[in-house]
This record gives sequence, C-alpha cells and structure tokens, in this order.
Amino acid sequence: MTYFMNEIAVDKGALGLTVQQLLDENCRLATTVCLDQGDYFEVLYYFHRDLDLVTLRVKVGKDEELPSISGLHLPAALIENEMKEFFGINITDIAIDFQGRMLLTEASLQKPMLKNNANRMEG
Amino acid sequence: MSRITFPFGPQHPVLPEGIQLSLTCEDEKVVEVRPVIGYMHRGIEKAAERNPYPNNVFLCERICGICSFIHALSYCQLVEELMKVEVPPRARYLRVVWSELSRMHSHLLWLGLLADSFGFESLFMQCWRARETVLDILEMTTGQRVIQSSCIVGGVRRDINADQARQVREMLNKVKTEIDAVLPVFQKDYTIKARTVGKGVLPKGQAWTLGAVGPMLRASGWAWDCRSLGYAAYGELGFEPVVENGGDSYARTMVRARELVQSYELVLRALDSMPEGELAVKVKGAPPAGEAIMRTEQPRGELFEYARGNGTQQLERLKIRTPTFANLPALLAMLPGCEIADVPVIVLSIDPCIACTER
Repeated sequence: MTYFMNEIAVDKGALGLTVQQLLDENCRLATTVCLDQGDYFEVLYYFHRDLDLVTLRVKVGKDEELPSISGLHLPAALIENEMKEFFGINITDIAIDFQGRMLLTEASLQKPMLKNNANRMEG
Repeated sequence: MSRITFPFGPQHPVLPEGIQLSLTCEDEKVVEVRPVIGYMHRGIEKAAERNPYPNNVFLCERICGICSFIHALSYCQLVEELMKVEVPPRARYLRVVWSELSRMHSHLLWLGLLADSFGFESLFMQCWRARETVLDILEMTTGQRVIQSSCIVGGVRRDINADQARQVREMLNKVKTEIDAVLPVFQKDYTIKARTVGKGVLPKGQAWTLGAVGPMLRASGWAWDCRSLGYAAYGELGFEPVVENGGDSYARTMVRARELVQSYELVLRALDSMPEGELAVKVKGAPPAGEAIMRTEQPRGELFEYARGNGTQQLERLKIRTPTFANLPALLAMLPGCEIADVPVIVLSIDPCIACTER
C-alpha cells in the first residue's frame, strides 16, 4: 500500500497544541487506539492528512487525567467516550459525555478492555 | 416557541437496526440531535484478544452481514502486514472480485431501502431483485450468500474457475441490464428528487472536518477512497473514485448509483486480468511483537483497523473503527434545521450500519 505515515510522541500537556497544529494543516482525526500497558495507558491518535496518516502517541498514568480533544475537534467525542468506557481512562471535558453509558449498560462488564479485568465471557 | 424532545428509533421503518436519535424540535423543525447507541454492542474487540489469530477471520466477518467479506479481507490484510506475508497475485484479484460483489449487493440493498423509505415499492423490489442475482453469484463462487468465509490469512480459500467466470459474466450482464433500468429512475424521477435534492446538505469543508468517509465524503466533492491506496489488486486495475459535488442526499444516492456500475466494471476487469497461480501461502508461526494498521474501503467508507502482536497466537489488541462510526458526527450536523419529515431519508442517506458501529 502506498501512503506515508508520520509518528510523533507527544506529552499529554502538549496534546491540545499539537492537535490544533494538525487541524490548522487540514488534518482530521481518523480514530484513536487505547492500549493498556500495565501501569499506564498508551493512546494513539491517528490523523488523516489527505490519504496519508499522522500518529500522535501519548502516555498517560492510570491515575492521571487526559484532556479531551473534542473541544478542538468534535468528531473525537464518540471515540473518547468509547475509550473512557472500555478502559476507564479519565478523559476530561468531552464535548458530548455519555457518562460511561454509550455502548455499555449498568449490567455490562465494566472497563472490559483492561488486561487484568475478569473475563465473564468465559462463563 | 415551545420545544419538544422525542425519540427517533430504535425501532423505525427506515432503520434495519437499532439506533435512537433523540430529536429536539421547534414545530416541525429539528434544532438538536443526540445519538443514543449501545443496542447492538457485542464486545468483538475483546473477543478477538482471546482467539488464535486465524480464527478472528470468522469473528470479523460477523461484525456485519452486509460488508462481511471486506471485514474479513481487512483483518487478513492487517495480519499479513503484521507478519510480512506476501499474498499470491491470483488471491489479490479474487479478493477484489468478492469485495466489489459485496459493494454491489450493499448498494443495491441501500437503493432499495431508499425507494422503500418514500413508498416507492416497485422500485424497491426491482433493486432487490437485481441484488438477488449478485447474492447468487456469491453463493456460486464461495458457497455462501452472506458470510462467505472465503478469505484467509495468506490468501483465499476458493478459486473461480473458467466455467464459473463465464457464468459470473453472464449473470453480471443480467444485473447490469436491471441496473440500467432502475438508475435513470433514481436520477430523474420527480418524487425522488423532491425527497432528496437539498436534503441533509453536507458542505465540502464540513464533510472533511467532521470526519465523513465513503460515499458521504465523495458526495461532498472529495475524491477520497481507500481503494486509491492500491491494496489487493486495485493498484493494477486502474481505479478512480466516483465524486459528486451536491453534498445532499441526492448526491449521495448518485455516488452509490455510479459506484454500482464501477463495481460491475471492476469485477469484469479483475476476472479478465486475473493471473494464474496459487490461491494462498501457508502462514506459519505467530504474529510478532509490533503494530500494524490497515485501511480498506467498505461500501460505507473507510474501515480502519489496528493490531498489536506480542509473539503469541493471540493478538494483544485489535481495534476496529467502522465507517458508520466515523459518519455519525456528520449526520448529527446535517439534521438540525431540517423538517421532521425529512429525518428518515437523511438518516438513511448515510447508509447507517449499526452492527458495524457498535461491534
């Protein structure tokens, strides 16, 4: 496949500024990927630059907050809600906040994508 | 003016699957929309972490019954990228054939649903009759009408022999005759134009910034299609995206109508130029530690997948971002300002797939 992919490691404090720079360059969010890395989360933000991709890689401690980018870029709101729900990552100030009930219900296994989470699916 | 908020869905005649839009209206005008989703979440990403990686093909193709083949294809290409597997040329061409047949039956299904949404039942039946023949082709070449299970990591499971290829051409010509009969109706019919022209307008700039993909984006003037990346055999078949500039429900209909003809031509071209050779390579071992991403073009737009391997038979993470998930913010922007009576057609115009969205 022929496209260019650029990756940038970003401190969470500089995330908003970096995202704004990408938006100013006519990039847009394709999706995010959250990874449970044991004692921290790694969040990958994939941005379209035409058909190419730019990746921002951010590390966040499990007890830390991650500022939402949905205030800068509304389409991020749904995927941020999903990450918050599936991993329990503390994303603050999401433009449309479903309060942990976008895809899961009260009866669902909570934070199901955490590595150490019990897998009720086995039962 | 008094406001009223009421639910549109999760059960509604234009919604084949469950999704709710909470609509706030002033008289007949929509002023605010909030999506309520979660009726169809199945935990597929979590389940994928527990299977040996080859078995996830079966899981992924069950994300959605309409674009099941391309879900399987994306996952196979993703793992092949992670494991640096080179797929035989014949398999790449066969993957294009089944991908484009999937797109044809998806678009015909959607055109029928659109006709049905404003009560044009004879047009609905004509579209679905043509779709039946496409499903017959899929059944003849893969053994299955909906979940084909013909894609595997390393290639494909089945071949299309010369006799089958001849039959596919004959059956596709029959489909083309039927398409040629219905497309002018979508293009010119007074009622269809009255219900779609100027409805749910998504301007070009907004289409990009709100993350729209697929026919949604192309109907707003963007020549943006993941098939341009050249995956499978698209790079060798001379692919050009279909683009319309109206940005409304009519333009989205025209993109899908023209893509139907384009898919028909791509299938024939792939059959004509398909090289002889192996169908698959044997893939040994486990995905190594590392990451890969894959982007393919579903009937509804870009499918984005991410995988992380850890040297075992199970993937550490599989992330799937489906096209309807990407198109929801644009839908929420298109609805405010429209009449309540236009909501069903505008919602349908994004070709929503909720099973994909929620996985």
